[in-house]
Amino acid sequence: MKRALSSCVAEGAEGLRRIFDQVKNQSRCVYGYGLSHPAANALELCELFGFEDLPRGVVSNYAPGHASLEKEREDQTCSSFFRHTPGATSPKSIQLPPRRVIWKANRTKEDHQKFQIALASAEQQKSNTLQPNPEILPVAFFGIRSCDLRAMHTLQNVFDVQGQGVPKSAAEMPLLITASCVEPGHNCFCTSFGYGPECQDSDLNITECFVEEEVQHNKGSESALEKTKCEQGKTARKQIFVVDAHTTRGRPIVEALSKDQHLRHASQHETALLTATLKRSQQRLKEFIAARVPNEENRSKVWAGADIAKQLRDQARSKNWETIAESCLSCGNCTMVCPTCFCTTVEDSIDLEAQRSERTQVWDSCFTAGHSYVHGGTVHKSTPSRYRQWMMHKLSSWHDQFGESGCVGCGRCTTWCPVGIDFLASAYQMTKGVE
Amino acid sequence: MIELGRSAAWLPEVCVVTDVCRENKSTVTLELENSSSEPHSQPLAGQFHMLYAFGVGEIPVSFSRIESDKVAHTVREVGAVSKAIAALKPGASLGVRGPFGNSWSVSAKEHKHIVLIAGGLGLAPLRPLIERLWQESRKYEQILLLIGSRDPQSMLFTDDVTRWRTRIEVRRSVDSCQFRNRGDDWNESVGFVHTLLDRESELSKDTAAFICGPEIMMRHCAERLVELGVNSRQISLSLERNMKCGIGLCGHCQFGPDFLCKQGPIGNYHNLRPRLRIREF
Repeated sequence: MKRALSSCVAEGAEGLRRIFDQVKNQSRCVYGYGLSHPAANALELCELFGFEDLPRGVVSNYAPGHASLEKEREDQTCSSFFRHTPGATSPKSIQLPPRRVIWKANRTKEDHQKFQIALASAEQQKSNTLQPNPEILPVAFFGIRSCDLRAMHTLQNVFDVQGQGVPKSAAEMPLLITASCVEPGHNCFCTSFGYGPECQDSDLNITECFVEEEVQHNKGSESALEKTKCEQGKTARKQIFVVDAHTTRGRPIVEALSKDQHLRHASQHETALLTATLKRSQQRLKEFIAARVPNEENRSKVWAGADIAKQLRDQARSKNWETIAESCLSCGNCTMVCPTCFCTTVEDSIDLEAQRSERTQVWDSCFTAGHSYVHGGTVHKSTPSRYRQWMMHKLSSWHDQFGESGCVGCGRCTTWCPVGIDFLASAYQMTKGVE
Repeated sequence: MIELGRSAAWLPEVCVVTDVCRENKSTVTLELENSSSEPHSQPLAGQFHMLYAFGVGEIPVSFSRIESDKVAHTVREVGAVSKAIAALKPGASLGVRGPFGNSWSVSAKEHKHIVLIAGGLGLAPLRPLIERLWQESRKYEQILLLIGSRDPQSMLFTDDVTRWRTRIEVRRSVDSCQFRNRGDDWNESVGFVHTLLDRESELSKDTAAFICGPEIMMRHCAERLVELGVNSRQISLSLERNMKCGIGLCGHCQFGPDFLCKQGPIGNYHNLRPRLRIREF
């Protein structure tokens, strides 16, 4: 694994706070995973107003059809920040809001048969959060994962390929601060697409590591180092954040923090710890994938490749779709949580006097009967045909349309499937082409 | 990287309906001023507009006439939007986006024999092509137009058909004709439109075929044409799927790898055939 030589280290929660504040200071708003309210038992991609909004001590427990959060043991004062995996919502909800007014139409007072149409205001279009004014600071994402970043590129590529992307200057691009997945989820399979669990193409990547150290009572207990230690019998757990800057936007952050002594160069021991942490994560991902793709040969192939596109295309008429979609409720959850699903529909509303109307763009799902409706009926009538549309679009036709995979391996569709259909296992079952 | 897509592409232009003509009980043709002054944005035969009825919604409708100063759309009243559009009177506003999609492509250099097959409202998207071929009929050895309809009452563009017959061979058929035995004036064929091909024993290799109608009808016609010796790459079909945006972003019109609003609605049978054989695809 290629690694920047200049890994830096921030110590403890206080160290992470400095990084967060530095990012917050140079951006308009910060988005990241947090609890929508204190009692919430789900992680969401939301605006983080301060460091306290980071989901500290929250560990996610995901399985097919199951998502819950657990609190780390209370006695651990250095609770983790990034041991959870991504929440149900993704940066898609910022890139393509679930609901936005596009334009408004008004009937002409003089002639009732006539009307005018005008674009809705930037605020109603929710583009104020998205299309930054070059005069003001960019938005930042903090603590998102490599799959999120991959998904953001994939979604942006859709707009670009369809000729609807607006070119942006580098300064307008969001600041991307990612975190390595040190504790991958059971449904994750990013590594089968050839990337993860750390992120190497963000502006700055943070890897949370824990060091077990013997407690040394005779040393000055007031030191900053001591504060971050938490006692566990005779050993203490020390929390460090290894920071890697990848871009010209990430490096100044590291430089500014280093200047103020909040970051220092990683020691040899810490670099080894980082490697071990990521290796352990990779190993776990490997095990999770092996549980679903039992065949070693299939497991090692890169799922982002075009060969799976062809294999699925050849299976379009297969009876196996019925087997796979047998328990599918056609609820559309998978498409809602998918960070790259971009289908939208429009709703036209009108006031009671029939004078004003507005058009709203809302997320849509290929699992609804309305999605493929043409006069006279729905094309995708049966649930297996809808499941086929969804999986073939993600893993097959996306290659034809946009030159890459539509799936990033985040596993959300599996986690939030109410009946726990495992996307990876199903894809494997389809491509091997037997019952 | 953060992007919603250009909103302007979603914004209809408000046009004025200049004329309305009722074709039959449920079908209406609306005439609009051709607002595209630029030659490159002139609509082409086979393309479509997204038409917006105030407060009701938007539907894709192909051009049934394209002239330098005006265009026409033929709409059948089947849903809320098409009913609202069909109810418009001359002078009313209509939201218009487009033109979108690809077009019928024919060249007298490559093709000497032309077969056009229309089923029901499928005659409307073919009409601009038929008009062009009618004008240029001398360049072709044979032009054959087959029109199928549910019953004699729903036959479209009957005046045009009379005119077309002066230069083009037109055969018409209806699925059923209740009044046949009661002296109704329907004296043409009865039966599905592809049966009109039964009179042919073989078609020339340089035949180009253009088919528009219900999917099942197009499939049968295309198969029959292949049997008669037409190259499946020279058979064009116009497909229909749900469409919300026309710019390849709403995802509804996907037909396998194609977004029918951009790569379609017209495709050649050679490419479409494997997908047309898949149920509910």
